[in-house]
Amino acid sequence: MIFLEAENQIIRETLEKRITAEKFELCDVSGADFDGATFRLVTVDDKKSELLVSMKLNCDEQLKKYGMDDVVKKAYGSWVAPTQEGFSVTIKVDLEAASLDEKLKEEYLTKVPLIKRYLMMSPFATAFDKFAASENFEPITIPYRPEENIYILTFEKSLTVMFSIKFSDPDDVVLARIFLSEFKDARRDRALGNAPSVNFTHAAKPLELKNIKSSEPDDPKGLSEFGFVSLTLFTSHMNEKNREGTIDKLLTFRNYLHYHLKCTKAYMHIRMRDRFAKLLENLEASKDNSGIVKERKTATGRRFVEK
Amino acid sequence: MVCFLSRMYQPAYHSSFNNLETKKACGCFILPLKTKVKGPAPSENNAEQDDVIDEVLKYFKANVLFRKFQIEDGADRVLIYLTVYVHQCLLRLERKNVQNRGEADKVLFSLAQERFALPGESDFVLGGFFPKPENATEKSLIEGFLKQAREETGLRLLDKIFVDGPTQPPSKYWMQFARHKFLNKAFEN
Amino acid sequence: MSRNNARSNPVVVIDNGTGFTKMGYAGNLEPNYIVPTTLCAADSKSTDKGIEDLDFHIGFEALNKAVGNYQINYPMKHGLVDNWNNMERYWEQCLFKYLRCEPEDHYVLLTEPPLNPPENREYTAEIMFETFNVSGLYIAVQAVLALAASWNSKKALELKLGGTMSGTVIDSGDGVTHVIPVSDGYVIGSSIKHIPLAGRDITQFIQNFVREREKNIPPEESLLVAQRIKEKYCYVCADPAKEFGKYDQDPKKYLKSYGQHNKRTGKDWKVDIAYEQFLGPELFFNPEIFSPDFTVPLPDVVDSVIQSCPIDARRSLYRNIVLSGGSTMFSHFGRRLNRDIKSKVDQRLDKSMQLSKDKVRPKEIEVNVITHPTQRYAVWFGGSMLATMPEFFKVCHTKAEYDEIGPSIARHSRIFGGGVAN
Repeated sequence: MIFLEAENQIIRETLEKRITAEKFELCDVSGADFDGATFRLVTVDDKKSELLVSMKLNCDEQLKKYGMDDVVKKAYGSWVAPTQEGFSVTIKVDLEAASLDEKLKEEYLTKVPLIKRYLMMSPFATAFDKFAASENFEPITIPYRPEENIYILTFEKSLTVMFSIKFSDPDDVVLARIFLSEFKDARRDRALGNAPSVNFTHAAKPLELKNIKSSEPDDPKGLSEFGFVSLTLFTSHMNEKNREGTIDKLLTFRNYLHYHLKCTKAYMHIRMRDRFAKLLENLEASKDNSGIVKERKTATGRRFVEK
Repeated sequence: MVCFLSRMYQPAYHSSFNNLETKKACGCFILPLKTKVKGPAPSENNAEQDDVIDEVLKYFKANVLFRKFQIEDGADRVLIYLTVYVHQCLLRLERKNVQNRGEADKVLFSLAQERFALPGESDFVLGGFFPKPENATEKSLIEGFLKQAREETGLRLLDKIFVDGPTQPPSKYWMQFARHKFLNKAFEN
Repeated sequence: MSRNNARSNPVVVIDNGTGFTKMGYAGNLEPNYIVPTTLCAADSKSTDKGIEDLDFHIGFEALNKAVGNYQINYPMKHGLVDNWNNMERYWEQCLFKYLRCEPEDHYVLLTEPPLNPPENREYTAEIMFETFNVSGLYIAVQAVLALAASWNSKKALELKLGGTMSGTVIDSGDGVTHVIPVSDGYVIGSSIKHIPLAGRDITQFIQNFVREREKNIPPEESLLVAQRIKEKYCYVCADPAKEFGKYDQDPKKYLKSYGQHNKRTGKDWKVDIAYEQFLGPELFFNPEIFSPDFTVPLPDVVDSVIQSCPIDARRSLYRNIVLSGGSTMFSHFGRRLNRDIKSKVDQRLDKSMQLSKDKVRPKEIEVNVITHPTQRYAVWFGGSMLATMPEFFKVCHTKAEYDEIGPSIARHSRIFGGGVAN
């Protein structure tokens, strides 16, 4: 598996199981998604045929400023329910109607698991629209993780999305640098001409952030744990057709990066284990067994004694 | 650590007549039977009381699934013999592919009249369980008793197998046990 | 610091078994996923493009995609990890694809079978901390988790057994059944016994038994039919011969039937279900029905396990016999087991009274078999429960400890959670 999916598997499978169940039962399933998001599927007030799906994001206050509620309303329409306490949004799923109507069921199963994307989509949508209309806008900061942000800004007439990524493990930093410099160079391949251009800096705040108040530390020691990746998007990425795909990939970019860092480490472990096994084999083969006398016994246990 | 213990007690079902005082032959008790068939067995007049044939039929399906049987006394030997005989009946009915009670009746009647091996004879498959007859009287006693018991068992078995009615084929819930040999022994294969 | 942040995120609980892996977030009653512990990868010697190590599938997808170049692999055997390369990759997909969590942001609870070598714990910790950078790790013994899962059952609360860390765990899954005595949170390793009878054998027995009698089952469906019968219709009876009699007396009440549509031939077929309903689970109590290789009934094994434990632990082991695993879910299983074990114990007490010529009257031994609704995934549920306790974070091994001391911290997991009797 190379790419992380956009939809939440647990939500999807739970919904599918509940819609196709023979009998509706009480449900209370909770879990987490990337970036500290938590969700919950629960039946309320003994109405077993209705399921409330709620999700909480840590940065929902900021997202509300960019029209999160409108985007959610546009995507889910009448399914939006009064938000449950402690969550950012709540969607109501009518299990009974879905179990009778195949089309409705498909709609639920495709749209509801993408709840995280719709929640986080608003800043991107606003930025894309404003950019398309050639309007200037204030750089947008989304503190989607406790110490990391996504910045959307215009820089020299192009739209840039920048990620600040914290690497708590120094080994990760080394791997990330190699990985991302490959990313940067990959654009040289003609086939990838349509890809956004990538820039990566480590332990130094990029120029674009000079004027923006950002939460990353300024001192060099603190900064050494941070890397900044900026992706410059083309208009073709931002049009109606490609918009949702672009946003999905941007939202999961940080997780994608970390996923591949961990897979790289796992791969190295695999090779280390193979080498180690070979080394042991060699050691075993080079053992000198000539001095050892093997004691031989018959099946009944009597021993051979050398006279 | 895989468990290597052997079972402490035998789970199979035993006859309740093991304590009865009766005539004996080849280690078998000559138990009372509720039957009209003639023979040396005393007749059991109380229709409510289970006799050994009722026990055989009651425990048959459970007993054939067990692999060991600890003989407590003479009544158990009768139980074993008749259990193996019931199996032979089922096998014979299956072989002859009987379709109704009338056919089954004929098959089992002829089976009961066939010559059967006695304890002490070379083709008696249950030889390990039964001591040989000491003299001719004992031999004729056991022969008469077993013949009588066999015929009666066949009749009562038909009641069980054709519980749905005489024109129906035999109950598959009984016929499937033709595949289960009791203690891996059978009078015919 | 994302370390402190990790404590506010739900704990990830993964129970890797030989057949199935149960995983999910703590706080749930049931695992979010129950997938086979299989991995299906392309033969790696083929091309050396660079990402071939990511070209694999796990779980049900692995079973579906096992064609051509792809080989199926079972990374776990007999409850222990057999192939660490594949296990590492398996966990990769569990965390990133199914659970969708960034391991740095979470604490993880893993399970291990009893008698797991300490080296295995070290390897696990290495993988979790080095590769995945988890914030914290706790490796729990499956039997102890099964005990914990029973604390909230009605019977346990009645008998004031909530919070006790002593008891006998009978864990019966698909492949093998274990009887594991646990005393004060520690497994008495030398007394563990394995019985080679479990769900798979019951299914096979039912399949053979039904095939003898029902001739119209399509052969490709016979295993599925057997499984369905086992899961939907089977129950434990009090006495097989009497049960046979009940079926003869009242066939309408006991004989069931089950039908389906055969997609291949387009015809409907029906089977009758009779004695296998109680003969299947009867295998636990009379194993010789199935195979001559193993003839000791489950109650006898449990009794001998407890008798082989230190004498001062025995009463508490009899008092709290906990069931776990899918194959213990048959109706009346607990009741029959309780009755049979109690009768063995009483027999022994009577014998001792007899031998002492009635001079010594031993105190009666209480035998309780605890059943509860979360039995099927009791181990996972126990983990989920323990991971939501406030003390959990204190007993976990943290990344900081790992960086400081090394993998040897994982050799010992602190016991916690016990002693809180309601």
